[in-house]
Amino acid sequence: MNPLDLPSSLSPDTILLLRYLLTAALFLYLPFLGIVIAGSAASLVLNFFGRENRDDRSLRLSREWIEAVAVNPWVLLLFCLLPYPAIAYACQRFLGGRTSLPAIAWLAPFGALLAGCLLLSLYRSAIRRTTELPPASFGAGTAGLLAMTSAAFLSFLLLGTLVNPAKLPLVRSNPVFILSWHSLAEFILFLALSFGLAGGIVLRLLGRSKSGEEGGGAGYEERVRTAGTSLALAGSLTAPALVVLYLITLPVTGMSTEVFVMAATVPILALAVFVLLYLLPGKEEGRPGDRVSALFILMFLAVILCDQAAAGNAYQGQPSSIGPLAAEKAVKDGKAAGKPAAATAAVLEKGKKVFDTVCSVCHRFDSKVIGPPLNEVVPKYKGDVAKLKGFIRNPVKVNPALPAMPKPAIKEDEVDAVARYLLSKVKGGK
Amino acid sequence: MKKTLVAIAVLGYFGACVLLMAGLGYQWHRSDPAPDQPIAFPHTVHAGGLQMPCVFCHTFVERSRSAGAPPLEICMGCHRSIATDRVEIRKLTRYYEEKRPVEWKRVYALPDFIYFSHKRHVKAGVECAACHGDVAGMRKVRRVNEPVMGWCVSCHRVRGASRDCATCHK
Repeated sequence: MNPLDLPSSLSPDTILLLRYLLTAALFLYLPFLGIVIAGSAASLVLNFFGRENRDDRSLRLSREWIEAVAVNPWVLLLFCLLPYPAIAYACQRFLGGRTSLPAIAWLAPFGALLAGCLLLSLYRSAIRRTTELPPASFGAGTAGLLAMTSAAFLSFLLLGTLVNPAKLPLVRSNPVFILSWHSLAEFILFLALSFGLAGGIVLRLLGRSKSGEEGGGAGYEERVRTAGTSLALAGSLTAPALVVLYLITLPVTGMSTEVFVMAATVPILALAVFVLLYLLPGKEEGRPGDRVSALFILMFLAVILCDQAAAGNAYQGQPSSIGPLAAEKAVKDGKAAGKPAAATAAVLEKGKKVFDTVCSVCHRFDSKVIGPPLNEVVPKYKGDVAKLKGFIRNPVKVNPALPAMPKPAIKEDEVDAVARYLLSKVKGGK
Repeated sequence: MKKTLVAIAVLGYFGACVLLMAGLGYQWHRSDPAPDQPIAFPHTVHAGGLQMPCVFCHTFVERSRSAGAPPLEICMGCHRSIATDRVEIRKLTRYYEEKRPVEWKRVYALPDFIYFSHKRHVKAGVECAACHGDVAGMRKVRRVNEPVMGWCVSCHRVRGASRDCATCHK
């Protein structure tokens, strides 16, 4: 049994609250996971080439970059490991009455996150001691990066099920079907934004390294500027095309005006990054890092809101429980109900069916809907089946305060069955 | 000069992306998932509040390929005397008296080359809501699933229904 399986049926308010919680948790989780992935990838690449080419500047940048992004274990815990269970829980509850995905779908990303955080912490403490990393530490960094990337990919597969709820029964029968073009498009968009954000963050290092460390000076500043600018520009140039891809792969049922408006803000924000880094440079001492990072974080926010709006649309109007499970439950309930003991059980059963599909539209036993409550009117027939059948066949207006009952479109045997059912059901009917 | 050219090219690229998004949005808007109907029939009142079963009005669903919109006789059965002063009911009465059919807008449409039968699905125990969603909660009916092949096939797969091409492509 899935540990997150809880009794279903939530009130709409709770669902709304969960959706806000999910959005907030994603806004903590995704940008931060992105920074860690992109920053450690950049650091590992720089470290590798720095050692190959004996380039001190690259080695120093490699260390400062991981310091800037992969931060300490507490921050990793707060931004990556804690929001994730909240996301898993909210997604799960969002799925409502449908039985959830197998536990592995929720636990695998968490395991990958945990492993990734541990391995990257090892890499970070090793690079702090010396930039000439032993192969083991470099390997730990690479493995950590892979683990974090797969955690992100698995998280996107999970989020992908939210915009395509109709696919859930299929995923339950065969987990391979959780793969979708939409999740892939969103994951690539996430990587583009992450690298852009990591570029913005490394640009914030500009002007902070006047202390004359090894590999320092103007050359180092230049290296930081080039690396940061190229990553941020690459992110800002690829993001708009990837958002188009995201919209193309989005299921039609997830679309709405809000989704398109949110998506359209990404190219505008990306254009702002481009203007900031390409058209307004020249001032060598300029430090665009803060502004570029903020713009990328806003892009993350736009994509998350867009995706959440799409999930909301896709779930709007979906029944709380569908699929074979509901059918199985109905069969089970039917069996549990057992057979009525009376000899006319089959007739009564038929009468109940007719009542439920035809009469119940206007009549209840204990309350007035459109017609009068049956507990009040049926006893007047004092068990006379023929008389009741006569009324059902050709209803006449009895109570002037109520509308006339229309002639029901049922066959003679159904009239008989429903009359018998009503008389058996109402106290004093017989 | 080179910088200006690059800037123009990039601006063009950003513009093209926004235009593409607008195009996708327009395409979605044209497919109209919740069309305005000639009479604003509230399923929330009938299927929701009154809990009328779907087959009460869509009488053909169990015995025909198409579920069909109910004949106005069914509506008038109750509305000869109920809520007769409401605007939408007056509209309904006018249609009925003038013997004009109501031209309901299609919410779900399948292409001509698809054979689909409501009867088969109802007989197999598929609930109406499995495809049409929670209609009882919709004031205006909205398409909640796109009837595309992948969607059909995934349900056939889960429920163990036939996946032979000729089942749907006759």
